[in-house]
Amino acid sequence: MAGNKIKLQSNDGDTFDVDVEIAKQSATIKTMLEDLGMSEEDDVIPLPNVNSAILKKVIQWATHHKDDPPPPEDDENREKNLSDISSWDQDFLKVDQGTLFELILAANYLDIKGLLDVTCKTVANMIKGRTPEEIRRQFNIKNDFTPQEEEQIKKENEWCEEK
Amino acid sequence: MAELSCALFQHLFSYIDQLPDLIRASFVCHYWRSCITDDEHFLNQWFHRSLKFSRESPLNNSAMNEYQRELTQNIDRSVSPTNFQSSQCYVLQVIDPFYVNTRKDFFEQQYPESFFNGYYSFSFWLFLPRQCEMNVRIGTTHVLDLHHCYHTDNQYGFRDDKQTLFDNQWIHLVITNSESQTGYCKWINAQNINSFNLHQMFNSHLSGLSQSNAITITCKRINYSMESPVQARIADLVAFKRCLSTIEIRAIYQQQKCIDKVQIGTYMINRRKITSNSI
Repeated sequence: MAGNKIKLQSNDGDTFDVDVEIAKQSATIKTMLEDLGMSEEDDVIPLPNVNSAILKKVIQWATHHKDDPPPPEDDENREKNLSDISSWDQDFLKVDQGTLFELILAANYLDIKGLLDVTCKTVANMIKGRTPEEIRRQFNIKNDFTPQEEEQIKKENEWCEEK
Repeated sequence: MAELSCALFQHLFSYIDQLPDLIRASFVCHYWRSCITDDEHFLNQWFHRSLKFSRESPLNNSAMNEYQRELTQNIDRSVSPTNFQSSQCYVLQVIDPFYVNTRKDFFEQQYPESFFNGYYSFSFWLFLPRQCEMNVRIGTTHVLDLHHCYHTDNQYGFRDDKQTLFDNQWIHLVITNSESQTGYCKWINAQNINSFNLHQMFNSHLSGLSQSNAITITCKRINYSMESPVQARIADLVAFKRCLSTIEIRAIYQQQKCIDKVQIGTYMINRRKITSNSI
C-alpha cells in the first residue's frame, strides 16, 4: 500500500495529491477512507472547511510529522507543557495570526491532534503573563465591556485575589 | 479570532496552566469570559487538571523506620470521614509528655530535595484529639505549632488556659511557601493565620528527627492524663509544586472532599452568585 495517494480538495477548488499514510494523520480523513471505503485513486475527498493556502500548510506539517508516534488517546489527562514545541514547529508557526487561527480550525476539523496541540500551545504562550489589555492588542479584540461591567467584574473577582 | 467555537476556545484555554493567566483571559471580552467563567464543567476540569499536574509524589518510604511503616500500613478507613475514604489516612500516636518514648512517634513524608527549592504547598486534614497540640516541621524549620501559637485577635487561641477550638474535630491545614525557607503562609479551615506568633520551644524530642527534605508532623498531649492513649489522624496529605490559591483552599475546606474530588468550578460559580446578589 506504500506510495498510494489520494486527492484532497480544498473549498476553493484546488486539488492536492497526498500519500495516504500522511493524510491518515487526520482522523477525519482516516475515518472517511476506512468507513466509506474511499480507497480508489480516483476518489477526491472534498474538504469544505479548508481553503487551499491552509490545506497546503496542513499537508506540509503532516509530511514533516509523518513518522511521529501516534498521539496518546487520553488527551485530557495528559500534561501540557507549553515550552515543548520543536524548533521546526516554531518556525512553521511563524505566520500571521489569521493563519494561526485558521490552522487551529483546520486541525480541529481534520482532527489532527498533533497540529491542534502545537497551535494551541503557541496561542497559549501568547496569552501567558499578559494583561487583558495586552491580550486584546495582541489578538485585535475589542473590549466590549462597559465601564459598569468592568467595575462589577472587578468586584466579583476581588475575592479571587484576596489573601 | 471570534470564529473559534466555545468548545475550541476551552480546549485552547486548557493549555493555560496558571490561574492568574486564566483569570486575566476572562477579562478580555464577553465571549472569552463566557467560555471561561460561566462554564462550571470547564472550570472543574481545568482545576482538576491543574491540581493533578502540580502534585508532587512523595519519595518511596524505603528509608522509613520500622515503626512508621507500621503506621502506614495501619491505614484505618473507619477513622476517616466518608469524604476522604479514597485517600490515604494515617494514624498518628500522640506523645505523652511524661513518657518520653524511645519510639519515634511522628509522621514523616519525604520529597525530592528539588521540590523545596521552588514554590510549594501542602494540604492535609488533621484530627486533633482533645488536649493535644500539634507541630508541623518542613525540613528543620518549625512551620506551625498548634498550641503555643497565639492569634492577635483571639479568634484562635491555643494557650494553656484556653480550650482550643479544634478539640476532637477534623481541621483542614494548608501551608504554602512562596520563597524558599522563608515566607510560609498558613491556613486553618480556610482562614489565613499568618499573624500567628510561633513559639520555638516545642519539645526537644523533635530535634534531630527531621529530614531536610520532609514534612514532619507530631502530636503531643498538653498535660499528663489518665485517659487511655489517643490517636491523631492525618488524611489526604498532598504536596503541590506551586502555591494553592485562596479559591482552591476555600473550596477544599467548604466541600470537605479529598483533592481528587473537589470541584473548584462549582465553588467559584456558587460564590459568584452570592457576590453578585450582594452587589
